[in-house]
Amino acid sequence: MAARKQGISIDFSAFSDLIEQLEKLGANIEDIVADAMEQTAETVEVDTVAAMASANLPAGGKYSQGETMASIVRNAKAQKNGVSVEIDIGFDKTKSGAGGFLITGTPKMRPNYALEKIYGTKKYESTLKKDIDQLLQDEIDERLGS
Amino acid sequence: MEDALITILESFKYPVYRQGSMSNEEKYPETFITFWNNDSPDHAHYNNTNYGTSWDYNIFVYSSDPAKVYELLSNIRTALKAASWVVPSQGMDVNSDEATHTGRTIEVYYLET
Repeated sequence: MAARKQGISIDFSAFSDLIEQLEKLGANIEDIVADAMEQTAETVEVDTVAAMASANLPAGGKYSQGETMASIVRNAKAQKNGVSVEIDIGFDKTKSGAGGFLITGTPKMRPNYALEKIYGTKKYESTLKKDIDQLLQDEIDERLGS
Repeated sequence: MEDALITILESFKYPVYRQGSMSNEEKYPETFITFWNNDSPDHAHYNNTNYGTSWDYNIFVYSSDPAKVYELLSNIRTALKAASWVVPSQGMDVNSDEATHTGRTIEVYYLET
């Protein structure tokens, strides 16, 4: 998953200790990482849709409908590519009306505060990392029967 | 920290605004710079006391001349790096309110201790 402003970056090597423990317990790491990514993507999707509520947006909320709303990535599925697992989250930049400009703002429109909290701060990324950490820990506990 | 950043941006002799601060009626200058503070978290905590601040800004350049956008942003990047700011990328395109102008942004960081 990748970086600030119009995306979120989470490097799964930060969880190498937990992943190593899961490997020793015979778990299918690729499936577990893909599942953790999909659950994280769902969290980002729910938070992005909430941030796009008209009350949170400039211009009377006209961007909470139509193309920009449709450009939010929904029900994202992890793609396994040999040694890596990837997933798209946030706004689909290939679609017209993608909401990047709401995150960066323009000279005449301030960046959207609710979206910026998701895509522009380390705090949100840190919350997602804690969630992933807990997911991996739960997988370990389940295998240890604790 | 913001004053120091603005001083560097103003040294390029183009108008400097906070992102979103222009009115709908205002016309874009030919070339101008905007900035936005994304975050300013504590760098670390020792003995329940914060230590340092991680300043995180976006710098935007807009111009009616696309080549100027790249040139000016590159010069700003060089100046900020010389002043100990971390600028980890060459930037990305951003939307402009005016069809006559193109814009790009870089994200810049400064650790104040």
